[in-house]
Parts: sequence; structure tokens; C-alpha cells
Amino acid sequence: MSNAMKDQAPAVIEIKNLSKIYYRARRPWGGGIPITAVEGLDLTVGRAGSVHGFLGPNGSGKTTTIRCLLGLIRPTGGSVSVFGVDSTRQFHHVASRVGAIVENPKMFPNFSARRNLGLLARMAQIPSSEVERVLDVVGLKDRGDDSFASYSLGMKQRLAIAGALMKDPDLLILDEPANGLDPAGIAEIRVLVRQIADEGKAVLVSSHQLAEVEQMVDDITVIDHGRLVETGSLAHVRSMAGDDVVVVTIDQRDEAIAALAASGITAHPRADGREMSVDIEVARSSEITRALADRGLYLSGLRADRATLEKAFLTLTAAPPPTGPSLAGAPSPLAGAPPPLAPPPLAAPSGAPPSGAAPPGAPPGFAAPPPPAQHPRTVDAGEGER
Amino acid sequence: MINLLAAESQRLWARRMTRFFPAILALLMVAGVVIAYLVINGDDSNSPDFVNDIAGGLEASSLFGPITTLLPVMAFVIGASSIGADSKTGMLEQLLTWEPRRLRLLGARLLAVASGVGLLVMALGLVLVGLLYALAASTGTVDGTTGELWANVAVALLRLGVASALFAAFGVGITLLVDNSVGSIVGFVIYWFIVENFLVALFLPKVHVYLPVNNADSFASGTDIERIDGSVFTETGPDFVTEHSYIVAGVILAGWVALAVVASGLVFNRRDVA
Repeated sequence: MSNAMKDQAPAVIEIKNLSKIYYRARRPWGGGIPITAVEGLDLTVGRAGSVHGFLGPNGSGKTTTIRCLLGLIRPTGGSVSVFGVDSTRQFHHVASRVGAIVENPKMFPNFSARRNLGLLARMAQIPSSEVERVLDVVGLKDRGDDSFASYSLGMKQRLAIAGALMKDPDLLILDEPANGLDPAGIAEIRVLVRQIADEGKAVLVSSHQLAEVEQMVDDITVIDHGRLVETGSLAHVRSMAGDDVVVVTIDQRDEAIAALAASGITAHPRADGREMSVDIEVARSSEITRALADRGLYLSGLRADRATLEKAFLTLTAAPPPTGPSLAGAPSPLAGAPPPLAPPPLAAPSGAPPSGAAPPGAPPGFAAPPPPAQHPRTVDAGEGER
Repeated sequence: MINLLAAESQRLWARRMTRFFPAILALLMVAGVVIAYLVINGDDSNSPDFVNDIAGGLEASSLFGPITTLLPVMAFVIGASSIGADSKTGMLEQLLTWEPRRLRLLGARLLAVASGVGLLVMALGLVLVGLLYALAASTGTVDGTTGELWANVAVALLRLGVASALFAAFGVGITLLVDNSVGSIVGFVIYWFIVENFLVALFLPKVHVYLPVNNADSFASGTDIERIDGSVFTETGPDFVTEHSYIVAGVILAGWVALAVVASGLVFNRRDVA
């Protein structure tokens, strides 16, 4: 599907000012310790014929948002619509058009794959031939009579995807579809998701596998601490990581920086005493080696450090967690990853309330999360190329 | 709705709990009858008369005595576990993405579980009747088994099935309300044996006659509900007065079940499923 056609396609998911507060140690008469899972989330995702990545650290509110979309939990505030229908109350009007996996694959453990799918098909009056078709699509036809409990996590994941595909949905919502899959399985899912989108369907994929997401999505939304951090085309979100840079390793670093400066090339020292970042396009790397060699300096290493989705993600979600009780306090799954090389300036919104201040009307014990790391912005899909 | 009901029924019968519990009960019945056969066989003084000694006369009033308590407990457990299994596996979430109308899903579940368990209990009752008949035929006598007796046996079986179906629905309702199948089963057993049949029966007899277990016993066994009149601690023992018939007991039991089901429906319809 061309970008022009995609732009004309209607948005299938509209989320406005969504908030969800859970209560820990809930008392029968109401109340408890409030835990803000999602707060003031505005989102338009899932153009028909596109794949929308939904990213955020653990506990950032992705699954809560997806559950709200599917009518499984009631939002504390705001509205959620799928295909123009208020999905928190009337999801049944569009349920046949939405295939979904939420968190882990869920099936009856002692039933075979065929039986599990057969039961779901029967519920929705789907012909039993569809069971065989989707088992074939996910490569489980030969293992269809094995019990769900005997499956590996990857096979369970594939079976869950088969279940979601059985409705031939116009919108497919996949929450961590690559969980537990081996590299080949992940690649299969990537191809499958692209195929589904290319058939004119909308796909919303929540995932931590950023490298995989990068290869399959058109648009991306990043949330953190239950709030929108950034949304837009893949190219736009990736640009949050800054530009590609060239990293040079050389023993005489300071002399090299001076030599490059003399040639009109700017370089910056890096934390490693032998490394420097050079502000030059990767394709022009030969100018670095020439400039250094002309002065008798020889580098021992040169590599391109590209702006990736992972860097953008780490940059965008680098804000400290809120001070109040929140599901968002969990550490990032990518906490051990290297920090971004050139984080873009993160301007705090002017007039933002101080971190930790409770908003007016907030329940007792409520503490507001800090202001988002960056002004949430929405950029049309297709602004950059995938 | 028919498809949903069919899927729910299929799921009920495929569950191990639905097969395991009745299989154990059936085995216990067989074992009991075999032991009785071994004890009675050759001892003419103990030869049983099917009509008078086993069935309790043409009314068949004592035929199901040993299992009238066990079967409703089993029914409650099957009902409770049908909800608990879904919560444990997260299947409820999956099902709701297919059938988001929660009351519809709950209705289908209730119908499937109640009707399935009712039929199962009647089948088990029939097995017991067959075993006891065979025991009497082989070691004593089955003389006097008339059409009237079999009609009464059928009615007793039906009552037992209905009481068990109601208890299965009760199990679904209570488990949905407390959102914990183990808690609801343990709580139910404690309530049944300690709270209602001991504490309330002894100290609040006027309340006891309106409670679910007492009325279930009455309805399933076809005996009117009686209560202690006056003090238990008298020289001649307590007097009993009839409070209401077993038909009224059935209605009261159905009322309790309806209350639990409606309350669970209201709660389930608003609950976050995650």
C-alpha cells in the first residue's frame, strides 16, 4: 500500500486523555493505595495498512492501554475508541474485527492446539476450516494435536497469534509477540506482521524487541510512566537519537582532534581516552583518514555509530520515575544498554508543574509523575520513510 | 448464544475436574457395594430387601441418602473450578476478547455448568441405583419393585440433579464474587459443615430453616424442613416442628442461588479483568 493511500485511510484507534488508576490493597467499600498506570494519554494509532509500534519500558502502561482498548478494564478517565466505537462499553460491536494477544499466550493448558482454536472458532461462528488455515500460517499444523501445556513458549506465542488471526481481523493487537521466540521465529513474526499490514490491515505491536520493531513498523508511539513521550513515523522517532556519527579510535587523540579541526572537521573527545566522535556523514569517512594521514597520524579504528530506535527509546525514556506509587517504577529492561551518544536537547515544557506535585482533585496519596521528558508531539505517518 | 453455550459445554466436559471427581465418586460407590457384597454374601440374616431395606419403601426416601450431601459439594467444586481455571490460566481475558458481553458469557457458563453437572449427578445416581439393585438381586431380594417405586426413584434423581445444578451455579457465582476458587471452595465447606449445620442449626434454629444447605438437603432428599422447638437440653430431648415442605425448600435454595448469581453478574460486569 502506498504512503498516499495510507494517509487517506482512517485511524482505527483513538485514545483521548486516557487515565487508569489501580488501587492496591483495595478495600471493599472503595479506595486503597492509588497506582497510576496511565495518565492523560492521547493517541491516534493504527492506520489501515500500517504497523504501529507501541513502545515503553516495563510498567509504562502499554498493556493497561491495550486492555482498555479491548474493554477488559475500565479507564478511570478519558475515552477509547476502536473503529469509531467506544470500546470500553461497546467493544462487542467491533470484537469480530479485532484480533488480540494480551501479554502472555492464554489457552487451556490440557487442550490441544486444535481443540483450543476450535473452541474459539465455535464461539465466534468461524468455520472449522479456519483452524487448519491459521495453524498452517504459524507453522503448527503438524503439532496441532499436542497439548498447549507441552508447547514451548515460542510455540504458545505462535498459537496465540494463530488464534488472533482466525477472525481475519481488520485490526491486530499484539502485546509482546516476539516473547520467547527464537531468532527464526522472530523473523517469521516480522514477515507475518508485514504481510498482514500489506493486506490493508492495521497492526498495533507492543514490544521490547526494538531492533525487530524497527524493521517492521511504519509509526511508533513511545510512552513512559503512563504518559505519551513521542509519537510519529519511525524516521521521526528515530531522529530523537540524534544524527549518525563516526567514532574514531586513535592513540594521539588530542593531536587528531586538532588535525581534523585544521581540515575543517569537528571532532569531540569521548569518555574512552582513545576515542572521539567526528561530526561528518558516514559516507565521507575517508576524509577523516586522509586528514589524519596527511599529518602522520594513523587511526586504529573507525566505526559508524548510527541513530537507532534503541537509542531514541533510551533517550526518550530517560526521565526519572515519578515519586508517587506507580506501576512505572520498574527498571527498564534495557537498563544495561549503553547510553545514547548524542542525546538531543530535552526541553522541559514551560510552566510545567513541579515534579511530585499532586494535581487538583487528585485522590489522597496521589503524586503526580514528573513532567514528560519532551513535549509530546504527533507527527503524521509517512513524514519519513520506513 | 447457542454456539457460545456449545463451546462452554465442550469446555466443561473436557476439563479434568469434571471427569476426575465423578470418576472418584463412581469408584467409591463400586468399592462400597463390592465390600457390602463380600460382607453380606452367605449371611442370610443380612440379606437385603431392595424396596424396604435399601430404597426406604416405595417412596424411595432413603435411596440416595449417602450421596445427597456429597453430590452438591462436588457440584459446587466443579462450578467454582470452572471459574478458577479460567482465572488461573488467564483464559477469561482471552475469552472476553472473543465475547466481550460479559453477562452473555456468564449466562452461557452458568447454563453449561448447571445443566452439565445436573446431568452428571443424575447419571451418578443412576449408577448407584443400578449397583444397589444388583447387590440386592445377588444377595437378597428385589421383590416388590413396582412402577410406583421406579417413578419415585426418577423423581428423586431429578431432585438430586436439580439441587446439584443449583449448587454448581452457586459455585460459579460465589467464586466470581470472591475472585478466588480455592477460597470459595474452602469457605463453602467450612460454612456448610461448621457454620450452618452446627453453629446456626444449634443456636439459631429459626434462621437455620432459611439457609441454603439445609434447604438443599431437604429438597434433594424430599423431606420437609423441621426445626427444633424449644430447648435442646430437656429430659425428653428436643421437639421438632415442620417449618416448610421440600418444594418450598427448593424455592428458597433457588432464591439463594439467584442472589449469588445476580450479585456475581453485577460485580463481574464492572470488574477489571487483567
